[in-house]
Amino acid sequence: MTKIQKMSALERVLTVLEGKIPDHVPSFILGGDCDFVYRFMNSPYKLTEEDMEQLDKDRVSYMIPFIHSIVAKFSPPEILPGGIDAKIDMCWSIAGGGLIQLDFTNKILLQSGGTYDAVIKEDGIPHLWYTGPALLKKEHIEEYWEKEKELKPNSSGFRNLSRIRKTMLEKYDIVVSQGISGPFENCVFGIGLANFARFARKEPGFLKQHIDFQWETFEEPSLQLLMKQKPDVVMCGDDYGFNAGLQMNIKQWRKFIKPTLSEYVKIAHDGGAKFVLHSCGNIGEVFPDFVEIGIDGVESLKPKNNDLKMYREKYPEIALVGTIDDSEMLKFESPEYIRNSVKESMQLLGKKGGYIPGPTNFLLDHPPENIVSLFKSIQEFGGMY
Amino acid sequence: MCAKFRGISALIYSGLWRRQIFGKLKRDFPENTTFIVYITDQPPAVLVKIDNGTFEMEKLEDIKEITELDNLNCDSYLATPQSYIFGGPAVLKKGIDEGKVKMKNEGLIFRILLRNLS
Repeated sequence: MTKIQKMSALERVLTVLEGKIPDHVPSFILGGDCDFVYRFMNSPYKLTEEDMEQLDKDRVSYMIPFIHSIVAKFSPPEILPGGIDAKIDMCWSIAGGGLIQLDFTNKILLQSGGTYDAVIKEDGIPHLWYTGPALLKKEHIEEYWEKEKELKPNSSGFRNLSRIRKTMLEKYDIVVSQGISGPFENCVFGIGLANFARFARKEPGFLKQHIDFQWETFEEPSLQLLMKQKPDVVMCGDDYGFNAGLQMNIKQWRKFIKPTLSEYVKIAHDGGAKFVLHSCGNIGEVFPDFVEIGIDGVESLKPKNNDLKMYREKYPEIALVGTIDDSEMLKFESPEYIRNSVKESMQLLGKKGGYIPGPTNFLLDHPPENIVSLFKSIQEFGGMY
Repeated sequence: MCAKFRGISALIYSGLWRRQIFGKLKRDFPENTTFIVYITDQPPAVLVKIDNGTFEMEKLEDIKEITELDNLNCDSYLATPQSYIFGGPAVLKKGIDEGKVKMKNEGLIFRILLRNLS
């Protein structure tokens, strides 16, 4: 069968985020950590020397967890001769601040004040991730505020994002959505959820002061640096949910988080970009607010935690991104099962546009053949319009 | 969970691992190389051996003082408190003047740090 691809990946993604019907359902991936890279590079799909020769020539990034080199491997052969032909239309990368150190702890801290660690397990595979809040007392937070100068964003990281975005778009027809962490994650990664809840009830002024400090010190300046590079799609990560609902009372979300999040959206829109929010868990309670502040797409949306059919019908303004269960189906089921499930998802969510399927989170210990099946299935069933 | 390495050593390991799995380590280090990283406030020191595109890292539990590094057979080393790592080359050089940082074969050390901690 001859494939007809009328739109570029950018046109396809923007068409969906504008609420219109594309030529084909686009696909998305957040990235994958070292465990997935290890599995992929020891699978039949691994990057060959010939692949890497072209990727090196094009200066494609090998950074983990955004794995743009592996995302490029999914390209059709006319783009990458050794490509898997399971095209991915959009991926992600973010610029974070540098690592900092405060006097009260010898741990490595992220810009948010959260701890960050690299751990090498006995199998020799590295794991790098956020490991918990460090600013557990008021005096810790106040010492963090004194590091204002060190917390300021560096423009070079954003220029590098721009180079990565242009390379992937021009050479591989892949949109790289780009962004920073959202206001809730930056706050809670630093001070912890228990402190957030306590300050929200007992010292709301102090909590507001901390959120405003992060906004003024690095969030707003980072977004301005990002928009100078003219991205097409801004995607910021801010996990509001757990399996059964929001991590906080919605009144607190509206009081402390929504005002800053709406500034994120405004800055992206003022710069001519679409705004997509990555937010894990059951977040249905805040969808009306997402519509109100103009968010174009919401990503993650694990199907067991979210009523996706209801979102599609009730909030057609918002594109649904992700939705393919990464924690159970993509890990444990067969490629054929995944193919059938993708077909069902397409029928349920994709008929009227507004749908960009992909794994609901970063790939971890997933079998590579399942991920190949996912993206091949999106290609197979995505031409429904 | 039993971790083989944590902290700065694990970050360096992660950077080398990434370059190894994508087949870049041999290009970065065409000749076999050994170096030691000793984060003085986060012991133990670690010895890294890069050989023909692969690497190994091992703990050196016996190292207690910066001065002991000169007695070891390696191509380069870095001994520094953790906080100096985050300041970049300028802060590391200031640390040398203060006697808190010690390096052998600076060029190789900066190349390793830039490729594996950035």
